Amino acid sequence: MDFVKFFARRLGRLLLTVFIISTLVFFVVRVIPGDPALIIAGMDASPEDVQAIRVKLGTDKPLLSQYLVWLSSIARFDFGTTLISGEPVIKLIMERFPLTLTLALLGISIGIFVAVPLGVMSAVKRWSLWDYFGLVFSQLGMAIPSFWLGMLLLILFAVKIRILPLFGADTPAHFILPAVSLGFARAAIILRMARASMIEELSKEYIITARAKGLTERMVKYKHALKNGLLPVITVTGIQFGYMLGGAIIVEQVFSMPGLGRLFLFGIYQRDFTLIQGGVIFVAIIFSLVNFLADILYSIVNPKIRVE
Amino acid sequence: MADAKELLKVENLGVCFIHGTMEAHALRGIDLSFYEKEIHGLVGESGSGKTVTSTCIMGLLPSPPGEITSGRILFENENLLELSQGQMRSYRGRKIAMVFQEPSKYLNPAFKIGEQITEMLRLHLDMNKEKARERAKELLGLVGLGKDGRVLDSYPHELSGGMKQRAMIAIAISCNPRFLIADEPTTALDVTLQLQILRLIKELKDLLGMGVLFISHDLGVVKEVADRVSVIYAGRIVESSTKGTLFDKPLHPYTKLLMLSIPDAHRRGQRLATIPGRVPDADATPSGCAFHPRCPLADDRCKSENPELRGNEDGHKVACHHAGESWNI
Amino acid sequence: MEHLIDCKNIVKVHRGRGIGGSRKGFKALDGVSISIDRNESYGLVGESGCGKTTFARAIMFLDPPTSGSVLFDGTALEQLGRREMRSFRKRMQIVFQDPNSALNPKMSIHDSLSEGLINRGIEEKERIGKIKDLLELVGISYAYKNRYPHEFSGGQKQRIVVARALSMEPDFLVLDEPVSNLDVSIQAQIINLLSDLKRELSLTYLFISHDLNLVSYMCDTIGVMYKGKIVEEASSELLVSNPLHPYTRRLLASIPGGGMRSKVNSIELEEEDADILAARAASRQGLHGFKGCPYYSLCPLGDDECISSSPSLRDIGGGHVVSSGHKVSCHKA
Repeated sequence: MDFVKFFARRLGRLLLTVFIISTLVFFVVRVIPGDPALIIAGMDASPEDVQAIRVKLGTDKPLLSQYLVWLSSIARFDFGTTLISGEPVIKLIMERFPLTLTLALLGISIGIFVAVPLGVMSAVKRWSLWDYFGLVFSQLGMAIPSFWLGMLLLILFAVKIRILPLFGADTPAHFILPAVSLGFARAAIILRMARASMIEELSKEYIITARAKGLTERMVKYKHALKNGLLPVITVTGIQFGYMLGGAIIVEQVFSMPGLGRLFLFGIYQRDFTLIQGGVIFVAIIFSLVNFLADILYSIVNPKIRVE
Repeated sequence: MADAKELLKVENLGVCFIHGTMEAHALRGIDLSFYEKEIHGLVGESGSGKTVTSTCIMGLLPSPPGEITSGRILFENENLLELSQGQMRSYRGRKIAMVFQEPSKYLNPAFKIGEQITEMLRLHLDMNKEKARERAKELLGLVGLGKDGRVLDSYPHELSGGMKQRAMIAIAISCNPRFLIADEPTTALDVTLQLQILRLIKELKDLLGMGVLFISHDLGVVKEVADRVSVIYAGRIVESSTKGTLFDKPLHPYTKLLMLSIPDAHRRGQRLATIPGRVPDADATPSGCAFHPRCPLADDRCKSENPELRGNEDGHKVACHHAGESWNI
Repeated sequence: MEHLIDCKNIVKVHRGRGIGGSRKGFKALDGVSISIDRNESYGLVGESGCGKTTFARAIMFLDPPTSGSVLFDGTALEQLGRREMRSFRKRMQIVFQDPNSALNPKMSIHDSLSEGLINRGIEEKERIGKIKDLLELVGISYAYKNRYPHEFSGGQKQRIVVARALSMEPDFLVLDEPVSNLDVSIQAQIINLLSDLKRELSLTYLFISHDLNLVSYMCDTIGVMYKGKIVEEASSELLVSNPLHPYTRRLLASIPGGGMRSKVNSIELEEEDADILAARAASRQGLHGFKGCPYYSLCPLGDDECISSSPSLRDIGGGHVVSSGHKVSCHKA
């Protein structure tokens, strides 16, 4: 019962977020000085041409009716057609999305399967070799920009040693370097969170209870502390995953992968504002959806959150 | 009570905490005896060494900074202080269990009550899942949380403060321990709940035949629950006796002053007796009798010579050069 | 004697969740009326969550009541503007349970005490003298004036908090569990100090505590609060010697040590009656707008009358002493 209510509440919040983002995007585009139609048509266009573009964009209608049309099309996942090629924006996005998603999933896996255990070990064996390794890992991860790391990896593994392919997205091997360069910085943050959270949990009173019960140190740490310690890690991982979709834009550029990032970059170069608009909303929706899923996962692990 | 079997004995226990060059003598040689089916109340103010005592008995003194400097803790013909961590672990929870002050902090928020009970049964008594769950259900009934076992599937946050403490007690008694340490178990509870929990501890003590170390700062609570009372001050036991004797005829000026300083309706209009100053820090315990700077009876001897804890013929022990003397309040 | 503070029908509804508090609010105070005479000490007793602290904050307008009126020395506080309220509030000060969080750790006690005095527009020369007097009053050496809170013990900190409250020269002091966080041997020091200050400075106290022993020692009148309502009010002697409400009796009987138990023939629901309790709790949950007595679900005397109507606080006369009122809200008193 608690769970159903919680689910419904979070779903409501998700829809509200999407609604607010759509509204913001709509008004930001309209409020920015300059008529998009003028920009698209270029300096030399005749007033008729400009008007034609306005009709095509729908910007000739009153603001309110534009807004309503906008909302109803968002609700149908219709982000309009691109100005350049006239293809539906959603179709272009869906063509590219699987690649970016794969990249992000691989990147986050590094966070989950490398950073979380490393962070937990750092906390459990504080000031040990583990811990120093973890600290160096997280320091580097936060200091090195992903594009630079990407280039370094390319030079090392694809140019010098030549064990991995250089550009493109044709084989699974193509994904290794981009995923590492994308995931490294995120993993560093997750590692820090896991370490800090575990250290905090290990100092809590229920740990004393667990020891007083005669449990082994393994059970105290990896059962009692870990379940609580992972809670904030779930939330942070969700947020990091969202960021990764954004970070993919740069990494895709470095590795010449035809993902969402390159699509949006192309849109920006071409001043294709329906494409950009659609892209922003799409990324925002995915971001909210990931956080929503993280919240749900969190509530499964920690039932207390459901009653708040 | 005289023929009751001695269960656990603390002898000349000394504990020191070392922070850099600073040494804090938290316990300065204490003796305590615990008997079966008897609640031994340990009363003292914060920093007097009550909790350090229980931590040592549990074998959970953090070291460093803590260090046991002297003494023995005898339980079932073993000196607990000489056991390895692994051996000590098989005592903890199984033979010596503990109930803590704030159940909302000392219960793990992420596990159901049932799991927090059964994990002990499975570990110490090798029960299988079903059997442990059955036993956990019985335990909940025993502590007044209903016989239907509904609480088994509750998380701590779903229970009220009093229920949480009952659950905590169910966890502690799950393996039928011989000795129970209750560290201020009712301090965080409202008065009406407090009385219920105190009664429950008494009932369970009789039912299971446990010896109990009951730690409290509250003389009233100790009077309610204990059979024997020891008063601890600055890491030393200053007075120890059966409850009746201690409350009727306190011999140590500290005990007397504590009793006189508690306000109640009968004292309306009278000034409360006070103890000047405050409890000394463990790294700056006064010379001689640690209580002498606050004591109305102190003389030169008290400043230089630490009084021994001596018992009279009826077992009433006191550590004071002026035991039993009176003064003008 | 004249009332210094007269609280009438104080109601506090904590806003519910949701936008605009759309969900059901929680009634923390349900029509509390008390009046305190000048130089009187009124004790408000109850268990955690009963509304004691909410009441104190409400009548001081730190967290204004939803409805009700507070007449302080003839002035209706709810009608004051922001500025007037501020100058009025100097006359009412509050001392909280935890002296650690009440003092700014980054301020020396001299600065902590100066703040209020500067606010009152007192010149520097005079201020130094005042701080000296205040510290002396609460038994802290003036030589310590430049020390910071962490250099003092809990009892000393509480003394400093009291000194700071007194720096505003209030008539009325709310003491919210002022000794609960202190060591037993220190509690008596602070209690004696508060008694002395009350006498010397002709203060009026609202003393909030869960400890009926302490309140009955300290206060002239006691109000027992349960679920946001005063269920019994009488002079200290009367309440302790002749408690009428079953809840008051239960509180008295629960005092550890059992000193009161023999005197109060407390009728308590025994553990075996847990089923009755559960049934009652269940039936109450079913009825959202339960109209009956708030204590019904725990009361051994409860019957149909207690389900159908909530008793109001009525004066049943003071037993032997006719002049002192004894109010109780119970059908079965």
